[in-house]
Amino acid sequence: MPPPVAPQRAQQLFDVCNRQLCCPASANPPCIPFSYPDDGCWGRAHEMCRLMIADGAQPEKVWIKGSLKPSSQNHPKCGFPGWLGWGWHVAPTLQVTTASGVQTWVIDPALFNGPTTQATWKSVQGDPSAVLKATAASMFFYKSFLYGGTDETDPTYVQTNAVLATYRNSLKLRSVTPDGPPPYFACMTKPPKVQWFGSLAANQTKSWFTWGWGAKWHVFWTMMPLTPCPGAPQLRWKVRVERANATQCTYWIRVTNLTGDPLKFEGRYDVLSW
Amino acid sequence: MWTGVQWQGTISPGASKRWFTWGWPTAWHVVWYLMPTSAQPGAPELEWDVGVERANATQCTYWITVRNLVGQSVDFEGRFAVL
Repeated sequence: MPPPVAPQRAQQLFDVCNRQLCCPASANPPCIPFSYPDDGCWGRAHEMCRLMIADGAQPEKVWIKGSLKPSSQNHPKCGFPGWLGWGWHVAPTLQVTTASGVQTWVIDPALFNGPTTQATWKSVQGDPSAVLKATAASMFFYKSFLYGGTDETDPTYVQTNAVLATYRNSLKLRSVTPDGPPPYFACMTKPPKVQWFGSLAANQTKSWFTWGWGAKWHVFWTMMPLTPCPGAPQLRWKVRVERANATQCTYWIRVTNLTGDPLKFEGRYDVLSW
Repeated sequence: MWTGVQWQGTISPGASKRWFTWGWPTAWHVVWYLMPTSAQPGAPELEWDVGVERANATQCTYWITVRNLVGQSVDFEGRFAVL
């Protein structure tokens, strides 16, 4: 078993992996298609192990087999029964020193926004009787456990790169369907102070209006992309206002997608004074 | 609500320059505004635009483009408010 690391180091290693996430519609190599949860976990896991090893860490892997029913905002059908889920799954692990002793934590940006305990990782996959097995990071495809057969390694990452390329393409294809890029509104609940969820095509500018706001209120509007795409600003917006009558106004918000990729966003408001 | 100064900058006459600031939680509602610290009465000195990038599921990067509208250098504070 490798030496344990501090929780902060686990978070740092999670960030090393998550930094490689794909802009869904362009998905340029060497990005990792975390937002295509349907398939390809073994390629993602092997690439994440490569990145962590290059950073000086000693990850392992955990494999899970069962009738797995995860939920994800990044799948147009959100979860079971629309999306049938997985027969198995794999992700890298780290040994982490915690107040309650050394624990196995999982690095799985396809399911979580940070490192998570192995118990939590198992629980969100919806099958209490699922079976877990740990292996070394070098195990690329644990066929003897999953299907029966000969296990595979991939020391040159040729197979890993092929898996990643396949699912980058799947993510790109999905992003240009009517569903658009992830995340999917049907899987989300609107948080407080979010007036609307919007979609924009590549480089598109579009206006939204929202009426019936108290003219006495001091209202501030901000936009936040929901589709991650690191490296450059994605959105810009301008607010205009119309006085509809003595007491009410209508806000007209023009939002511009600054990128060549379609994206989704939320239109947020705050009332600074009533 | 709470406020702060994220950076102090200087911009040359007539110039346009972009700053970015990363690692902001996407759950926060953040607004950006500028305040000149070099007094030049008579006309507006600065204007700005805000762009935003979703870096990952929980963090974003703000890109603030600042324009100097006058014929002299302007020192300013880049201010924010978390609503």
